[in-house]
Amino acid sequence: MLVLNRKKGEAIIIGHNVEISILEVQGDNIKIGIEAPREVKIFRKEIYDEIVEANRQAASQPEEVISRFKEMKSQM
Amino acid sequence: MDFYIEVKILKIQSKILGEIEIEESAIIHFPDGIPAFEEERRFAIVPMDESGPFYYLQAVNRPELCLVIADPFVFFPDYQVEVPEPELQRIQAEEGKNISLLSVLTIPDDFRQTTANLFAPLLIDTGSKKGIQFIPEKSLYSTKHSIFTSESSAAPAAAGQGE
Repeated sequence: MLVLNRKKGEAIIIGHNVEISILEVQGDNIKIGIEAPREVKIFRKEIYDEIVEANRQAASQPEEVISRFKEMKSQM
Repeated sequence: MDFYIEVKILKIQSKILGEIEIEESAIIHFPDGIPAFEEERRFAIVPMDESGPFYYLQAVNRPELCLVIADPFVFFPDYQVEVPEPELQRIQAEEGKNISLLSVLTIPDDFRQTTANLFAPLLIDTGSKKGIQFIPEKSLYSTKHSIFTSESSAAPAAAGQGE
């Protein structure tokens, strides 16, 4: 991991087209501005991780559980 | 005068469906993959039955990646999603005319506890044949809403997302 120190008003550029600006610093809270091309997805990490975990769980069910689901769902 | 239409058929291996045949033109392209499987870009959507709200989302190049998905509105008639313009553009949707919204299901061993991910729905444009899993900045919904209990008709999860 590259570790940089930045002050309010300073910025970081990643590659040639992703720019991160430190807009405001108030105690533990930092306001960050991000400029990136539309195709670059940007998420709060904990939210992305939550979807990763949800998809992994959804994908990991054994075949017999899905088969049982298919047979029994119409009875629900 | 004879007319010929060339239809390219793909044979796909699926851990759940075995070997299936899909028309190349029916393949949905996910330009970002889906979270946890970002490299998988091509998926087939296969109905579970002749009718009914359940489908399989089968990765074309990965037999073990087969998600069960469903039409969320069958279980959650009041479900609402606001999709920002950049996301619609990502799947080349024209005014959202051909958008389908589908939810990834998590099916536990006790399948009666099956839940739907209402927080991050799949958005698929059936015209452009492109799809994404839409992750909102914030949402009233969670990644796990029970589809088979009376809770499914309740209001969206109170504050916060997921568990």
